[in-house]
Amino acid sequence: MKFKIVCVLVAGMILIVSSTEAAKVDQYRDALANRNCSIKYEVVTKPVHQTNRMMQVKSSKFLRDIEFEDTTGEKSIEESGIFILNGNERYSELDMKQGQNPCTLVKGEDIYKFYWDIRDGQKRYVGERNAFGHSSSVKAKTIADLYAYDALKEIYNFGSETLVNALFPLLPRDRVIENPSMPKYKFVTSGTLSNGSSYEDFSAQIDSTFFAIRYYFNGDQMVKIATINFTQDNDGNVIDYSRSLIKLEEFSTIPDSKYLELPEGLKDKTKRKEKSK
Amino acid sequence: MKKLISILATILLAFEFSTAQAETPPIVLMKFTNDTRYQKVDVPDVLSDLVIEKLLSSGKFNLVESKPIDRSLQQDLYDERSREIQNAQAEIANGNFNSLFEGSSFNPKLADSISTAQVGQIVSPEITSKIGQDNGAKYLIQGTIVGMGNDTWRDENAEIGNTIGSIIAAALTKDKSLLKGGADNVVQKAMIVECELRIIEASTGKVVYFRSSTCTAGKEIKGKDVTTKDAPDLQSKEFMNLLNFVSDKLSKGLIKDLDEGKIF
Repeated sequence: MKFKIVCVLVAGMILIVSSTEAAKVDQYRDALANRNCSIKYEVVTKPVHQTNRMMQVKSSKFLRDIEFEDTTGEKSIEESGIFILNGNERYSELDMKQGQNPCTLVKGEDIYKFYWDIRDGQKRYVGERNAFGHSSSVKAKTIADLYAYDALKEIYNFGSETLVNALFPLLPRDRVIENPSMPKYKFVTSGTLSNGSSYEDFSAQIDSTFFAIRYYFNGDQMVKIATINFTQDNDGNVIDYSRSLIKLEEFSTIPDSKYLELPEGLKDKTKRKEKSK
Repeated sequence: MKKLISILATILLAFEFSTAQAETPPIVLMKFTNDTRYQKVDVPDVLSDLVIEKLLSSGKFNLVESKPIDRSLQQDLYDERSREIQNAQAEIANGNFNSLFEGSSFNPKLADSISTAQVGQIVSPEITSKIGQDNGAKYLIQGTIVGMGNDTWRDENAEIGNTIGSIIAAALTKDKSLLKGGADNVVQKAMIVECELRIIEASTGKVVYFRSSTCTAGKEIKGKDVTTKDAPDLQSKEFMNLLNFVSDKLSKGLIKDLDEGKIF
């Protein structure tokens, strides 16, 4: 009898532990695994020492966007972005607060790279730069056209590095290029803040560097992601840190189809081999 | 009588000048910080000296120190954030990340760093008020060098001229020598510096003003056959001129905004 009571108690404890596991992130994890989602985000708190600087130099006749060597020695990050997944279709667009901002549209085997900028107060999409400015057409490349590493980056692509770092605990493991320097996140805890929003925390450790991510929810809707990592010396002093706060304008399981076609004004000039009869 | 009027006028002018000086809040210029990867180039010292010299010459600012304050607000802010993380260690070890994520590091009202601080955001009042107290200043001017670099490019006008205008002209006139015509190609080499200035209220740490300036300086050569290999060299003299140009632009912009009541 006592043994049965103990078994029931243990089973009950297991149930309680399971119910405190991350639950709200699951729908987002599933959306990424099923490749059906729309993410629109803004990077609110940029990591320390990273700024976006794009130099613009006006020559005598031509307006030039001159991209000097990385001015901080670190990577530039976007101010905001859009990322859409729909099966084997993908779209990403970044706002780097610069002249031309990168866009990628993937439709099956075809990968289109183009840009957006602001001209006369209007957003427009353009192709590669040429002697007369920018082309109004794009030509798709295929995975086979790319070097091996670039091809892998396209296949396992979940947006910019900023977005990937923020979503890392939720990304499907078979679609992420693994390497030992990537943190292995585990769920830590969940809770509710005084303003009524809830959160779920994940953390990881690699050597002397600690990583943590907090996902914020209003109800079941994910609204914000905060990430931090810091490195300590042998005495436990923090010697370096980096953090970012991403505000989610949208994170839904419905792909926004308007982004999954070439934008108006851009023509597809891809030469395709005719199928043999 | 005339002498008396002259004396009175002089006294009045002196009084007005001293009153104008007293109306400008006491302010210090912090040494420029360098956000670029070119850390070995001694630009912050040079720019700081140039800007303070121009502000002093204007007589518009009540600068309590005639030299830039050699203290890095950027580093102080970074160190403060590091200490916050350090202080959260015990809670982190217990799986409680609230002091980490709900502390000042993620407060959108607080500036991440000097170089990303927006007008209205707060830069650590503990740090800025200490600097203000130590120097008798109510405001701090903080400059940041955010970009430096150079580039070379070529405007290919000759080929266009040859292809379009000259070919048509040659075809119409049957004069083959016109095919060698067309505008010269232009090769330009330029240096660029981008800086920002912020004014911070010492007691509150609030950013009350922001100004950005980008300046370029360069040389060009023209010719039918010039390529980027022919680009002219830019000497340190040109770079000093560029820094002078940047400091001038920043200072004049600041003075103009002060005169228009946009700062205080």
